[in-house]
Amino acid sequence: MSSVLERLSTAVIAGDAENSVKLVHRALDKGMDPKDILDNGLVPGMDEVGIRFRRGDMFVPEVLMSADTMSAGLDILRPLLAAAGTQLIGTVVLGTVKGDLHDIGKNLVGMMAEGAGFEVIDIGFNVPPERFIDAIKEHQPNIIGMSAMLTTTMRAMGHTIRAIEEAGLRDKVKIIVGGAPVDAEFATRITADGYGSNAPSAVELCKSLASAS
Amino acid sequence: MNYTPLLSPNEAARLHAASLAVLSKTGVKVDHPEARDLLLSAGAHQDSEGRILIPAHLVADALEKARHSAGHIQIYTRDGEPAILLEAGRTYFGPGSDALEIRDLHTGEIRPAVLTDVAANVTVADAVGFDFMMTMALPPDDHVYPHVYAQLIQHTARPAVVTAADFDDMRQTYRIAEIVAGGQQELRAKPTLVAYVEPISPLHFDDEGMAKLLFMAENGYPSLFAAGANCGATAPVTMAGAVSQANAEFLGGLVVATLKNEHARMVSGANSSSMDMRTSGVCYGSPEWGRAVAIYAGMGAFYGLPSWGFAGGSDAEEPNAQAGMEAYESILLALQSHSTLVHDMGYLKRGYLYDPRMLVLTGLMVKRARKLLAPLDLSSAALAADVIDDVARVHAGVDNYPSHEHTFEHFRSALWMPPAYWERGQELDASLPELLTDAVEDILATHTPTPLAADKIAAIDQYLHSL
Repeated sequence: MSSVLERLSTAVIAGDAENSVKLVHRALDKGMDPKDILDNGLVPGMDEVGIRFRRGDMFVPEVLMSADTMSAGLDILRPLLAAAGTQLIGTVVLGTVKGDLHDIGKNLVGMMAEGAGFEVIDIGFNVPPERFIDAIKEHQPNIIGMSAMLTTTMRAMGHTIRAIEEAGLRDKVKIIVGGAPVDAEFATRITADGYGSNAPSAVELCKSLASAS
Repeated sequence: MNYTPLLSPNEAARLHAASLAVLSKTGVKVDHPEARDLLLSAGAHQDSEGRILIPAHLVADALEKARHSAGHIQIYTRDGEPAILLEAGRTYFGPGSDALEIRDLHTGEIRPAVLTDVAANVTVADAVGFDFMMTMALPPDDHVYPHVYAQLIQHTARPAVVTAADFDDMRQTYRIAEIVAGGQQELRAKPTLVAYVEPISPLHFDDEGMAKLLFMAENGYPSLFAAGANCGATAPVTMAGAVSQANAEFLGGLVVATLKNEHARMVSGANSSSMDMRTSGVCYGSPEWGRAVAIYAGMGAFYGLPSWGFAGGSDAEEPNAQAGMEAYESILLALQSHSTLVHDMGYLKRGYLYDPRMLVLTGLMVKRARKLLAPLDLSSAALAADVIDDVARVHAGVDNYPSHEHTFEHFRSALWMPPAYWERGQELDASLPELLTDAVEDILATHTPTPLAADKIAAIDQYLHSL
């Protein structure tokens, strides 16, 4: 029988939330350190999911189920980690920009970022620049993620970045953008720090930006 | 009525019942106050979450009204001539809209669309002979839609299907159409365009969409209410689930429109394809896309209404083998299933890119598909018994078919006649993409669409300057 932590990784890869919750409890019962359970059980499972996704062996719905499974395990560990003073890898504030009512893509990024171990604050859709600014002040995130589904609303991303600059907060956060009409060139033009072409790549981007910050 | 092999009348009835259940049990989220009032005062209910539950009898009433006013919708050319008759059983093809990128044939590069691309692409699509137009290119500017339509209407007399970001853009686009038609009454009497209005899937009737739909209904302007219900993205991953949801969205819109004006004229159907499970992009070339057009056509036939269709696109980035396979597959299905108003001819790169060569290629595909699926001509001229007798008996000295007068008279209509550059054993001096580039350049150098009168152009310019 493989170790509890190996089985936990396997449960994350399989998207088996029920089993992952049981295994996290089992590991805690055995006296394991919550940080050890996170770093050597949940995270390696999610890392393997990322590898398989990039290789084309796993697909978006499976990755989302794995992210959900990771979150279910993390929910149990989070208060214990906080009590021990252990930091999560970062905080991400997500919103769909002003004028845009689409939120599926943004929600997928949120689920997967949570699965990757981020604290995710979702401020919804049709979000004006001032609400992004308020969220930076309130939650002090490492990363702001903005989404737009329409060519007509993508320019609101640039306006929002400008407003964050004017509020003197630009150096406090990394800003990433995504959504159907957006591409890397547009992201550069509006001085965003990064662009994710899909939910898994957006989360990879969050991880690299969070570790660099 | 013609049904598609992919959807029997019984299957259509089951999907209809599933859509009715969605409307009455899950209902729709309606932000627009007037649309809410119309639904609630007609007998829809509001649940504890504020969703509007639409009972089946309201849908039945709406369909009854629609069959009278929308069973046959005549659309006119810019110059007031009858052009296309939207009714179940007829099929018309046209390009798509809102592509952000253009393949520049001078440089070979993909670049962002600009306004002159609309003029060039409409000119090519006009020469190719598509039945209706859409704008194809979308420059990345605010409130660009009326400007884009102004380009379209100056470069083709053919009818159009128009999109717009919000109600103001749509209203301004219609103002231009009214200027060209000679006024609002004239455009109502002889509509030259169909409005592409859409809900947000799943089941959200947002303010802008409702404002557009109510405007079209009030004025009797033909419109769609075509959701983007994509399998596994904005709708269930299964085709039956996606269609039952999108069809519920259309029916909900039809209820709103016919409550506003019982003579509202709407084209049925929606857009459905698959979400790619690796990239999470929506596909414009998957077999699900082709199947969906046939199924929405079947639903249109079931309702006795014209249907919205989509075909002739590809996920590939250039006119290559994948593009050929995907585009022709959907064109065949659209034609075979009698989808009425079939857009997206020539779309590449999942709807992001227009390459004018693909317009030429899909134009050929449409002609070929029409030939392939044409009803068998069993007239005596086609059975040609006398011709057989002539050749067999060597009447009048003719002992072969190629030199017989019957062949001379009929070969152009009897056979698909590809352009000279279609490879059939002859020597070609270039590859197909290169020859298609030549064909596009030839069109742009020689094709002059029917010009719009100078006073109308001046009036459009004046209006655009006033915005």
